[in-house]
Amino acid sequence: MGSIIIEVDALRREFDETLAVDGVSFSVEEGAVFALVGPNGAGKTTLMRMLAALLEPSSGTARINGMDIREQPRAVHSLLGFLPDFYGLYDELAICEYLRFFYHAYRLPREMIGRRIEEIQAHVGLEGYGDRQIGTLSRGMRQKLSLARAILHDPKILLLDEPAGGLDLESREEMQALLKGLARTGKTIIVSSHILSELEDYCSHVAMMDQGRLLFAGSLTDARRRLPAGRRFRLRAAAGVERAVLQLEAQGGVSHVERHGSDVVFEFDGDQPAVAEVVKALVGAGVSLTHFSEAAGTIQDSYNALMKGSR
Amino acid sequence: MTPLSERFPEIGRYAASELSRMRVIAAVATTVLIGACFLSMACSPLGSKDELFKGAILVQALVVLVYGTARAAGAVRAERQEKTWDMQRLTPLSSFEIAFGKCIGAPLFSYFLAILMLPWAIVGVFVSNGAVSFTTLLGSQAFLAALTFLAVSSGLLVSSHTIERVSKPIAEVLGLFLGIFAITVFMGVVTTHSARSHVVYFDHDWSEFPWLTTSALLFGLWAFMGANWRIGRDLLEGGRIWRLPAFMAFLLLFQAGLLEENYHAITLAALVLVYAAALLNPEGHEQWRKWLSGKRFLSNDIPVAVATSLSYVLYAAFSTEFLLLYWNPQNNADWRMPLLLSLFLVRDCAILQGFRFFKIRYPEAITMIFSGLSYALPIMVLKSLDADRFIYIFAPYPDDDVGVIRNILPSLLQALAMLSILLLVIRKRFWAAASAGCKP
Ligand SMILES: Nc1ncnc2c1ncn2[C@@H]1O[C@H](COP(=O)(O)OP(=O)(O)OP(=O)(O)O)[C@@H](O)[C@H]1O
Ligand SMILES: [Mg+2]
Repeated sequence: MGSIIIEVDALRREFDETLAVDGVSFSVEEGAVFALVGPNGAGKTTLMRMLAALLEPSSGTARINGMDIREQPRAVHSLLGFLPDFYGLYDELAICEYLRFFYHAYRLPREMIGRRIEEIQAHVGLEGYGDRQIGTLSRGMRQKLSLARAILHDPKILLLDEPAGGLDLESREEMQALLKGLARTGKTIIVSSHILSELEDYCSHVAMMDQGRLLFAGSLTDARRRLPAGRRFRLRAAAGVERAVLQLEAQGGVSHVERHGSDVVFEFDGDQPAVAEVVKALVGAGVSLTHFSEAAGTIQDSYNALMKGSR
Repeated sequence: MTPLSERFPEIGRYAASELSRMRVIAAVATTVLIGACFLSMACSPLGSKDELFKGAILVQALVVLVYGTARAAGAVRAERQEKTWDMQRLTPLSSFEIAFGKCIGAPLFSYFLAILMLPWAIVGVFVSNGAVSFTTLLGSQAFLAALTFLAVSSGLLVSSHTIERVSKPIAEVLGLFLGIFAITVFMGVVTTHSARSHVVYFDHDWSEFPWLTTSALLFGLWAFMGANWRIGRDLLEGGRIWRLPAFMAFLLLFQAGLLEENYHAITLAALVLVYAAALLNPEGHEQWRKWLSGKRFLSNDIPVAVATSLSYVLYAAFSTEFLLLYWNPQNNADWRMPLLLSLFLVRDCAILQGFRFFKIRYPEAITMIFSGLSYALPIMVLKSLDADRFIYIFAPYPDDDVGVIRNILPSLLQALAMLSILLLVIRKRFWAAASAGCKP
C-alpha cells in the first residue's frame, strides 16, 4: 500500500432530472482492493463510468494516477482496464479473433501477440476455446472473456462493475479466485457488487453508496468498527426459546432481540461479568442453553446498519 | 491484409466476421454464375453487345452502393446499441483510425463482390465489339470508386450521428435512401455517357467522368470528416466544429459554377442533410448544459441541431447575396429561396428542441408530423379556398407578386417567435442550473 492513485473530488452526475451520483469524494491507495457496494440504483455504475472517463461528470472531478478525467480523458482510458456491467462482446467473432482485435487496438507489441493471447486465455480459464464463437458462449465464459479483454494490456488500475452479476455459484467462485489472483499482483482494483460477503475476504477497503450518496469509505477494519453500538451475541436453546426471548427483553442493556428458529440473536452493552450474569439469568429462567457465543460483526452488519440509518 | 489490419484493427475485425470461408466460396460461385448469364445474353444474336459490361457494372454498383452503404449506415449505431462502443472508446484508437477502419471494414463483403465482378466487366469490353471502350471502363470504375467513397462516408456520417435512443429505422431508411440515390446517379451517368459527354462548369466544358469523380471525392471527403468529427466527440477528443461551416462555404463555391436548376437542387439537398443531422441527434440536457457552461461557443460540445441550422443560415445568407448580385438570369423572386428555407429550418429546429426539452416521447417523429402538417394543412386549405396568394405565409415560397419584405416577414416572425420561446426555456432551465452547478 502506498500513495494515493485515485482521488475523487465532489463528483456529481445528473441524468436530466435524476441525480445519480451526488457529490462523492474519496481516495484509493495504490494496490488497494476497493469494494463499492450499494443497492440497485445507488449510482455505482455511473460512478465507475465517470472514473473510466466514459461519462462526463456534471460537476466535480477525479484524478486517476494524477490525471484529471475531464482534462485528459484519453490518457485515463489507456491506464484502465474496465469490466462493464454488460458484456459488450462481438458475438460473430471467435474468442481469439476478439482478443486479437483488442491486442492491436491497444497497440501492443506485435511480436508478442501469439504468446500474450494464449497466456491471457489460460489466465482466465479459456484455454482451448480460442476457436469458439462468442455468440455460443455461456454467461460465465463471456464474463471471463470480458475480464481477459480488460486485463489484456496489463493496466495498473481495474474497474470491475459487478463481475459476479448473473453468474451461478461455481462461476462466481471461479471469478472470485481470478480477482484474488489479480489483487495479489498489486493492481489497484475497484469492484462493485451488492453481495458483500463475497467481497469481504479479498477487499482491503470498502465504500458504501445509497441513492447517489457515499455513506462510508474506508478500510475494512474501519468498516467493522462502525458496527452498531452493542456487541452481538447468539444463543441456541434445546427448549424454552420463548422464555429466553422474554427474559432477554426484560434484561437491562439488551436490545434488538431477534429469534431465528431455535436461535436467538441480540445486542448487549456490557462487560464480561455482565455477560456472565445474563447467561446465569437465562439458565435460571429454565432455558436449556446448548450454545452461547459472541457473533463476529461482518461488513454486512455495518452495511445494514448504515443503510437503516440513511433511509 | 495484415499490416493494414494492424494499423486499422477495425478492418481486421470486419474481415474476420464478414469474410468467412463459406461466404467467400458463395461469393465466388455467385459472381461466376451471374457473369456467365450476362455473357450468354451478350453473345446471343438478340442481345445487345454491351450487355455483359453494363450488367457487370450494375451488379458492382448495386452491391457497393446499396448493400455497402447500408452496412456503413449501421456501423456505429450497432456498436452503440450492442454496447461494444464503450470498449472501443477505451482503446487508444483515434477517431480517424476508427472512422477509416469502418469505411473500409463495414462494407468489406460488398467490396469483395465488386472486385469479383471486375474481370467480367473487362471481358464485357472485349465482347462488346467496340461499343464500350477501355476509357469508359476506367472512367466508370473510377467514378464508381469515388461515388462509393461518397455513399459509404455518408452512411458512416448518418451512423455516427445516430444515438441509440433514435429508432433504428430512421438510420436504416436513410442509409438505404443514400444508396438508392447514389445508384440512380451512377446508372444515370453511365448509361447516357458517351465519349463526348461533358459538364458545363464555370462556363467551361469538362469531360464528364473526371469532373464527376472529383466532385464525388470532394463531397465524400467532407462526409468522412463529419463522421470522423462525431466519432471524435464520443472519444472525448477535443476540438472545434469547423467542418460544417467549411463545407457550407465549399458548397457555395461549388454551386456557383452550376446551372440554375442544379443550383436549387443542391440548396435543397443541403437542407435535407441539415434536417437529418438535427433529427438524428437527440442531445439531452447534459449536452446543452455542457455547451452553455463551456467557454467557447464553437466548441465540440455545440448541439448538432444548433451547429447545423446556424451553418445553413450562414450558407443561405451568402447564397442569397451571390444569387442577388451576380447571377439572377430570370430576374424573378427565386433568389429568396435559400433565405426562406433557412428561416423555416430555424423554426422547425426550435420546435424540435422544444419537444425534446419538454420530454415529449418520440420528439423527432412528433416534430416531423407537426412541421409536415404546418406546411401541408394551410396549403391545402388555401388551395381549396382559391387563395394561393397567401401560401408564402405558411411555406417557403418565393412569390413574384409580393415584395421582398412581405415575402420574408411571416417566416422571419415565426422563426423569431419559436426561437424566443426556446431561449426562455433555456434560460429557465440552464442558466439558473448552470450557475448553481458551478458553485463549489
Ligand atoms: N443513462 C441514464 N439515463 C438516465 N438515468 C440514468 C442513466 N444511467 C443511470 N441512470 C439513473 O441513475 C441512477 C443510478 O444508476 P446506476 O446504474 O449508476 O446504479 P447502480 O448502483 O449501478 O445500480 P445497479 O446495482 O442496479 O447496477 C438510477 O436512478 C438510474 O435510473
Ligand atoms: Mg450498476
